[in-house]
Amino acid sequence: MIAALYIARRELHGYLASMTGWLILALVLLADGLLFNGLALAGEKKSFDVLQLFFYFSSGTTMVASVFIAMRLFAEERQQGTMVLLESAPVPEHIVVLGKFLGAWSFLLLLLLLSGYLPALVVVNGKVTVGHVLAGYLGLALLGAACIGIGAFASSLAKNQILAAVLAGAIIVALLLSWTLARKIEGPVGDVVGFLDLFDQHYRTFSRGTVKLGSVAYYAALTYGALLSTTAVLAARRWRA
Amino acid sequence: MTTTPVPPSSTPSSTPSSTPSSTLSSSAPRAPLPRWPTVLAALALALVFAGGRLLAEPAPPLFVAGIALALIGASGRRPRGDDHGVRALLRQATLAHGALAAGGGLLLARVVGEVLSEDVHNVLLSLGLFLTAGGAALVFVLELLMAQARPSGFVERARVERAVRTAVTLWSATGLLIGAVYAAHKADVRFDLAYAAPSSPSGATLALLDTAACGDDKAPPEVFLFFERGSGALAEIDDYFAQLAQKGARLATLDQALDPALARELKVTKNGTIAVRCGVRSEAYTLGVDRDEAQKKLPKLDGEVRTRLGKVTRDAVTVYFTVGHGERSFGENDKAGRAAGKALKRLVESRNGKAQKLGVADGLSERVPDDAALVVLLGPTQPFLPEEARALAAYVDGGGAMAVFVDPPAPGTAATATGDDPRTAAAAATASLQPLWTALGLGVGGAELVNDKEYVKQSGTAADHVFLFSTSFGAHKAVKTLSGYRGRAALLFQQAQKVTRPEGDRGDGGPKVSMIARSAAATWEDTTADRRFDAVGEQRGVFDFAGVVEKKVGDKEARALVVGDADVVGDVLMTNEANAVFAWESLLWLLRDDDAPAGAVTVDEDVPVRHTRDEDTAIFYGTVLGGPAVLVLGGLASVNRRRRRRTDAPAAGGAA
Repeated sequence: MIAALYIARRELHGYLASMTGWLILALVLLADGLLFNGLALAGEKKSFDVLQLFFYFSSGTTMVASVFIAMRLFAEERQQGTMVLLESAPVPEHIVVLGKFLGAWSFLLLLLLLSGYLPALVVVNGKVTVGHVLAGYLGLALLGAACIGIGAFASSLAKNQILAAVLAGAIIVALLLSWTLARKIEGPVGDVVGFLDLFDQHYRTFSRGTVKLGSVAYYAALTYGALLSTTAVLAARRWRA
Repeated sequence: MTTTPVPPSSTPSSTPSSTPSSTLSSSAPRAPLPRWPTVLAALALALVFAGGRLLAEPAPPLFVAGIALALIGASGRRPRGDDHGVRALLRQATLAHGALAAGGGLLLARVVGEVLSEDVHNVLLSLGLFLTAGGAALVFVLELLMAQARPSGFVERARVERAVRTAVTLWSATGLLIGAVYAAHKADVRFDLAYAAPSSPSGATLALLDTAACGDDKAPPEVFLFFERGSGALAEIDDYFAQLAQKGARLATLDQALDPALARELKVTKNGTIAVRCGVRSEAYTLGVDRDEAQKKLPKLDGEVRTRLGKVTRDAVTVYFTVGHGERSFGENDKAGRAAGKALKRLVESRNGKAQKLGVADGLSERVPDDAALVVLLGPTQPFLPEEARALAAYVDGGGAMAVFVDPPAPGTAATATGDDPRTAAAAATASLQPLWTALGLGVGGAELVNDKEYVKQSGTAADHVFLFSTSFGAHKAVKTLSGYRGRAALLFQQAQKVTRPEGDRGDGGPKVSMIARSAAATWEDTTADRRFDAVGEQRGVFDFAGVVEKKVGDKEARALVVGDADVVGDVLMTNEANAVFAWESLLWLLRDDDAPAGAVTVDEDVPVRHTRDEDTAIFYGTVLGGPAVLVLGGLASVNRRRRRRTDAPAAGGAA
């Protein structure tokens, strides 16, 4: 576990040591700010609606940011030729994957923390509870974790970062569309497909200030499953090497 | 290391341990790895799927055919040959085919086992799906390995074991995760942290549901959701109704186009409608099919459902609100800033009450209509005619129910004063109701109540000293929930006066008076009208904010509630949970529905987020440019500092 934390720290340092990490933070905050002002605050909306819309739009920026954060996790190592260092490191694959995931997720959590001044404006000027804000951020953190997990998996498969981003985006879009697909499928299979949905089925309740154990378990399972697959891919590559 | 299969003759040293018996010079495959078992496995999977899903009814013969094909495939994977790797590969493939056949068998048992319980059905379905899908997945993973092994005729045993282990691990983990998520979903543990928690039914709604008995069999009410499958609006509300179903409501989701007869019976003409039925009564509420539209209505959903439930489960009653004396409106707050009574009206409607106006034009100067279940005086500010006051008193004396909310006069106002300022005129209204006070054996009076030690802080000035609260409640059905929260729940009052019993003994058979909400200690009547305590002439103490009266009249019982403040049930203070509970419980008691558990009630009075133009500009530039700009500057500083450190370090090293 200490090795995982060491890798996570190195990873987080990697984001903040270059201007790219800071620019990602600034661009996502810029997008959040524009969406907040242009759509969430537009017109005279009640504070509950404003906060719900903020979390709705933030989910989009969080998913996009997660893909960009995660695309470099393994693909960059491969592009720079440093993958061999990871593969030959005296740590198991799952520790490497866990460390890289924790580093990327910490960076995303930092990003979410920095956006806190936007809902704070609603808390000050409206009538919402701090619990609603915390529930929304918990949803964003879990959604981001799942997307980073998927991104890590894509990054472990792809040869370069662009391909990793495209692959992760495709998987996430497929999960987002499962809700639409479920509408066309009758019976329990339709229910199962609908339950796989990344957003409508599980995230919306967080944006309304409700934390459901089932949705928390879904995101945790999706993240774990993605990281387990990533570990399997790395193990297979290490074995072939 | 290469991953491309190479002829055995070119790789003698790469596989010595895994192929001890291989003759490396041989160019022909030494173990048969035919493709037909994999093809049979694919066909078996397709037949099992078709047998369970594609036809209108499950078809056991298709299952049997699928199982047979999987078993034939298993026989085709019998371990043989000299190579250990190939034998291991075939052994694993046999197991994979077997798992596929076993899964098909469990699914078949579920289809034909009609007498089995639902739990056994679910277990068979879960295990069957797990084995079928897992077996099929493993067959295809192994086929990939065989495809690589075919040209050379051998495969490394460790590679086979690793591939199988990885596939089984991933598939088992997937099965376990799905099981865990399903269990968590079924447990339906949730925490509503938002204000008003619109995704959960309120206690009042659940109480209505709990006490409802529909039809001859006393069944719970039915709730019908008319939405097309996968509707976005349905996704917004299904949590709410799932909780209602858990509490006993009979819930059904239908498509109006597919169930036209039932829809017609419930007077539902389009999808996006929620219908509630209890016995022969039904009520419908149109939410809409659009997700955004549904989202906007969500905060009011509980109130709407409660109203419909009230209408179908309770007999209709008429509640009269007196008018023509400057009472609180049901529209917006009035010019003097007094809160309206929309929330109270909604509560009346939730109990299947019809709110009607009652003034001189409606015959109040003669008598209260016979169909009145309750008469409400909500903050009158103009005097009643003596005939009106007598009619109200006669109504109470005849066993009627009445709620009187009276504001205190403005500080320093004479009892006979009238005028444009409602607070100035309130004293005259109170004085004009003397016959009613006599009938009730309870009255209001005195000056505004003030407390400079325990009050609700709002503006931080002495004006807050009249924003009072009560945490001390009597043991009475009208406040049964609040009395359980004595000392914890705060019932808010904005400028209140005391409720008093008239002097003198009324003797046996007179009204039974109970005080139900008291002020904090150190409250005083502000007779000097300066909101400051004067030791001379003013005295601190505990005062009653509200009282109830019960009076036996023949076989009837008159009931009345008297509160020295109309704001307590006004739209502003009704956003406070305790005020909403107080209004709902006292309403139920007055309507003689007090045996039902009242439960909490949620009143939607969220506030709009408003800014001035200057504030909007500041927020826009602050959030859109300020935040990101600070980050970019911070990033530049941080990165430059690192660079300097990096360049300084070698320089310092060189100097040393």
